[in-house]
Amino acid sequence: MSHITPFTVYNLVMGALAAVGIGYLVYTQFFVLRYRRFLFFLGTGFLVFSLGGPAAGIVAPGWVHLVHGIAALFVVFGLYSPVHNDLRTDEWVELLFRDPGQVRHPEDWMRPMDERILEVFHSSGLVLTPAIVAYNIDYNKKEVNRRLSELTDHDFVERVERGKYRMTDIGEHYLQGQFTATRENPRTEEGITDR
Amino acid sequence: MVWDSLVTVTLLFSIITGTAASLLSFLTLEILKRSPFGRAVFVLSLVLALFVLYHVALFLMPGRLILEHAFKSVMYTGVAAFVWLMVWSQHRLRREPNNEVRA
Repeated sequence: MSHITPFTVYNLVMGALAAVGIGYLVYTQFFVLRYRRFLFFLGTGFLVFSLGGPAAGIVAPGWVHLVHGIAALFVVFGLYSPVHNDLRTDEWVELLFRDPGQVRHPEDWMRPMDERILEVFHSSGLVLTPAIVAYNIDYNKKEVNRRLSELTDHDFVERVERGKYRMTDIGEHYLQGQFTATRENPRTEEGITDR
Repeated sequence: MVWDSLVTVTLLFSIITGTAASLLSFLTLEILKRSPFGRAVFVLSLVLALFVLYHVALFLMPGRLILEHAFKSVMYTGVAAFVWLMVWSQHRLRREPNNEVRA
């Protein structure tokens, strides 16, 4: 017990704090079967590190690096899956992009209505007229027309023929949160960030 | 002598696994940086980078006790910060009313 220093106590407190957080995360997500592997490895890694590290520092200081190494190994197993799958699985998309608006970066010219218009195009996958879009989002047709012109100018949608529009790849990328319409490159492909 | 060798081996083990975890966390950060968990993963990457630095420093300069303790405490603080940022991110995702996709 001579190894107990203020640093050790502080580390134990931090470890306990992290352990409570891990417990909460595991409790709220563990019943979602598909996240179990990720949560199990990452949670175990942090528990081993947070509690096992300070405990080993008191009981057997010589083994503390082994405990750290094992914890890091668990983190490797935990992180390997999402990196390996590159988040292409539905469950990750569902978890992280439940509201893709949180990862979109609208420009100054954009209005909240633009996203609703793009979402209608995305969900239908069809060529649509302003009247149909307006009907689906419960907006005035004139206003939808105006916004469609703006979206066309910025290449988010394209005019197929008079009064008929469809969404472009840029619009699709924007909806998925992969497009940053910066002032420097508001309409170019450079604005599309690869994942 | 044997004990010193064993400590060196465990240190090397930590450096190797820590480097792997750190690389994976940077890859994860690249993927998730614009997601609600971006900030938490950023903290995780910093903590794991610190984890590697700590063990490399111990390997190259053993016996600097205060520095070792300070380094270790920063790491534990970082892990706690990461976990609670994850809790906060998840809580925000569940509670914010605009989380529902509108169309």
